[in-house]
Amino acid sequence: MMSLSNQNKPKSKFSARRLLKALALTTVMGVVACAPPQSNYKPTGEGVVDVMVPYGSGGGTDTWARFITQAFADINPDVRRYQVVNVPGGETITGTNAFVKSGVTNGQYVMVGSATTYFQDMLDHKAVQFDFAKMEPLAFNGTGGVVWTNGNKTGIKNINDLKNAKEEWLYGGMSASGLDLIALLALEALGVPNRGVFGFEGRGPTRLAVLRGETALDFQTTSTYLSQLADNVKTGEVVPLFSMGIPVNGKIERDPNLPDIPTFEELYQQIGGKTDHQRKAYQAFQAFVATGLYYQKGLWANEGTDPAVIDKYDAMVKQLNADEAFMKKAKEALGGYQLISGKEAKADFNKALKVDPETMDFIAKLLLEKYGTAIH
Amino acid sequence: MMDIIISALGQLADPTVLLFLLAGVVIGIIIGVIPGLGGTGAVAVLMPFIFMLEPNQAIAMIIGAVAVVHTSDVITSVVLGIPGSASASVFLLDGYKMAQKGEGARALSASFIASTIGGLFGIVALTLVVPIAKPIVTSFGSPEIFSLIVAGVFLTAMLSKGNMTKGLMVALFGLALGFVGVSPISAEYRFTFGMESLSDGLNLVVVALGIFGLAEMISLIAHKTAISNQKVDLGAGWRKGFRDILRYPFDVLRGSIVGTAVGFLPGVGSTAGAWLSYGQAQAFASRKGDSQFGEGDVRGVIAPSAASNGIESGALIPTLIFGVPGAAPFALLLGVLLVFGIQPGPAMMTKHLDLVYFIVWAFALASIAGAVLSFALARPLARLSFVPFPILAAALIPILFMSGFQGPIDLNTFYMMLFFGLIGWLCKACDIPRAPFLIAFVLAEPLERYFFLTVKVYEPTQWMTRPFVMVVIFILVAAVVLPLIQSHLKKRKGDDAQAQAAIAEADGKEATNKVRLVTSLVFLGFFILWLALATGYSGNGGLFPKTVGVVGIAIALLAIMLDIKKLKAAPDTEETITKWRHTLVTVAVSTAWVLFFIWSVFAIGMLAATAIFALVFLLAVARMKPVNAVIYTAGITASIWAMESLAHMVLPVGYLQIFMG
Repeated sequence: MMSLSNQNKPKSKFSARRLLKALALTTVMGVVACAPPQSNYKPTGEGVVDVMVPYGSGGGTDTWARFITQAFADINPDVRRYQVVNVPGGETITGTNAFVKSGVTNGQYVMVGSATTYFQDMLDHKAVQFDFAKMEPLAFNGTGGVVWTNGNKTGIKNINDLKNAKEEWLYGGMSASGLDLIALLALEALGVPNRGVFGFEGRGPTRLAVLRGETALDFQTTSTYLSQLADNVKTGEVVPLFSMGIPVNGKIERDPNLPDIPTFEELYQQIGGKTDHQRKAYQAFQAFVATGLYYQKGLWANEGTDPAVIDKYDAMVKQLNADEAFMKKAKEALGGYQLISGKEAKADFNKALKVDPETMDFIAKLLLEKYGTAIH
Repeated sequence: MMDIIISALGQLADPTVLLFLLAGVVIGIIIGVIPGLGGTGAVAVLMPFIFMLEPNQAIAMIIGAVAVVHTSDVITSVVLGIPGSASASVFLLDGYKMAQKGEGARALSASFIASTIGGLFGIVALTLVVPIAKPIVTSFGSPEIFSLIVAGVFLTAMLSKGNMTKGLMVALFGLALGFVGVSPISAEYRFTFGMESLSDGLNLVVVALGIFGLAEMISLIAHKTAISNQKVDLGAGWRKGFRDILRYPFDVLRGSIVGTAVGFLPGVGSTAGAWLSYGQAQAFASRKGDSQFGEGDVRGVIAPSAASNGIESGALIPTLIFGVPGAAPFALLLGVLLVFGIQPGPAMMTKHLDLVYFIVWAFALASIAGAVLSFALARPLARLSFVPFPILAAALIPILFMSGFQGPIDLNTFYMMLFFGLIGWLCKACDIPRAPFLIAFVLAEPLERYFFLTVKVYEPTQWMTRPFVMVVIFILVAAVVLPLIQSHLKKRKGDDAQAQAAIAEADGKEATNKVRLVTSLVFLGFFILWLALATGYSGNGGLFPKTVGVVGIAIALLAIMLDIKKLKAAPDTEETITKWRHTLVTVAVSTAWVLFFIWSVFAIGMLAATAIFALVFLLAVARMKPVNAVIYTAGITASIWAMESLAHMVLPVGYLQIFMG
């Protein structure tokens, strides 16, 4: 019986010789076993400036990048168009690393950075191979923000109610090491008893959470606040506590879009007898609010870029800001704020980038112990 | 309200939107027909195009595909005895029998019409539920969403059709992999081993394409002949099918109800739903006394058809209203909606109600269009199954990898897809269901998120006593208890539904019992490693991975014990061992071909690699005539090129391109 079935078995197609051939082929192939990097600089061509966007296509930063580069192309006769290349991955580190590696200094390759990327640099992420202090900013677009609460659910009418609270108020955010860090540092500096819950999937959910009464405090950008929340101030449902303000000639002034809301700076200066903890939080706040909000989105060029390129963008920014028709059209895209010349803001930005080790320790400790967040 | 419904229809009436809807329908029909590739495959293939379209167009296209994929998957099941998708396996019984009796056309037409009615029924249900949903939604908080996600993960595994242990085990595996990447609550990197490719987690499209798409292909490539050798004779009888619908309206209705209800509960799935519908139709028929079930009773085609589409539309309800995927393809739909900044869930009811109705209308139109198209294409479509699979594979492999690449833009994706393809094949071979894996994988992150959002905001007594949460807990308990009761009843009736369940997963299952045991051991090893790694993470960030590890170890041990029992009861025969070895060799060869493709892309970039791979593959494996092979290869390469230039997809670059600057 056994032998019969063996005889009827079809002859194996996989003879030794074929196996050997396959093996040889496999070895050759094995040489290319490592996946080639996909983000190497590939100039598109004459008259086209390539833009590295280390964010996913369709996201907020990507949309801004496409909008602003289109605006620049429209007023620059030397540039036909900008070609956006999306390289999301490694939490924006992959694309930024690739950009810096290219070493292009003639202005034909630029990059768009946003708060997330700056924070990676400032928080000393291990995989970071770039240094924004060395790179050349071309243009910035900042945003303002508001910390608010639901007056009807929490009974808080103003910031003093908050500071004198007996228990900790709950702040709902996305991630303590992201933009929420700014709001948290502000609350700490003002001496507001708080605890945080993170993991909300966006600023929409955090907003709903406050409206529902699940959380007490939330941070929203100016444009969202104005479009979704400002109308409910009169019912007492929405109580703005303080805004982040905007920097004007080195001083923090009230946000022109939110003239009735006091700034964090105002409130902080009013405090007599600040504790050491509050002072440290204030220092940390200064560093992160600048890169995170005042200069949130930026167009960047590599270290050592031709000064003529930088001057060109300086001129273009001023031209766009003066163009009323453009500013009107750009209101949504720019969040209602003007463009800032990279050349002019560079010193301020670099100052903010330098977080001294003591402050870094303070932040790392605060994040870990109070908010359960580990910085890489 | 009516004005929103009408305005949504108006949005749909835009010609470009309708065009993309139709495109989605066409793609959905084609993929539904191809055995093995199902709804997830269709949506996964469409996904890269999504980024290039307006939201309305993109959503219309996806809905178009998802709505019809269960309309056309019946074709190969009926005509050729090969299931077009797992849930279509139910048609192998009566549907196929009818075709053998020469009544194939009747079965198909009855199925298409029932499918459409089932889909429309679910849509009507969705429409009716939406207005009532509003008040629920505003009081919908993190606890409610959390309980529903738990239900989704739980039910998915529980209803793995008599395969509960393996279903749970693979669901936990999916959960575990879902935690790779940055933790949403503690911002630490988990299970990334310092690799940048993993720091954003595993890409859903890659995983789905691998574990379902590539896995199917790895198994099917091995069969060098055509999928079917039968003669196609559908016979007359298209009109007979129509009359059957009129004769059995209640079967259509009950099938639709079962389908919609099943779709409404996240995670139950179309396979379980289709079989449940078949079972209830059979029960009613035997009570009526004229049952021909098993011999070619048309009700055995009508009920599951209505259910399958009812499930798809019913699944829209939890997907849109609660933000929890009601079925595997909807996991991808959720991802797409999020890309467009649309937060499915309570917010959708207040902010995007018009979009909800837009989807409703799109689904309805797609269902009807799908049925019409199915009728038109049934005959030529069935012929695809006569095309030797290697010929199809030559085109499908480049396309699948191209699609998977678009998300992460990282060529390590290719390895990941192959890896998941092999895992998927192994699961098929060991009769481990894969749907629980995918749904658990998708729900892992939301599960963790909403758990912490719930427990950090509320006390346990506060959130567990909320009415909705209690309802969900009740449903979960019922879901566990009811099948037990049902199986008791079935045992009394002597129903052979169990035996039919065994036939269901027709292909696969080549693994010997020893191999199944080894696989379970591998899973155990995985969970142990997982737990060990998880202990290194912070309190909050480590909680879920550790829990998954512990429960995973427990379930894997249980699975091992069951496998040992099975091995002892039915030791592997010489026949099964030989069959397994043969399968292994053919799978190894398939894998080698895929690796050849992958490494070619690494070396010389996508276009050149596609051309070379397709040509060599067609000549060597498909044994095509050289002239035909060249023409076909040119077509495939042109399609890839079209994907880049027309659809603006990104083409992978190889070392050659980098070297040439």
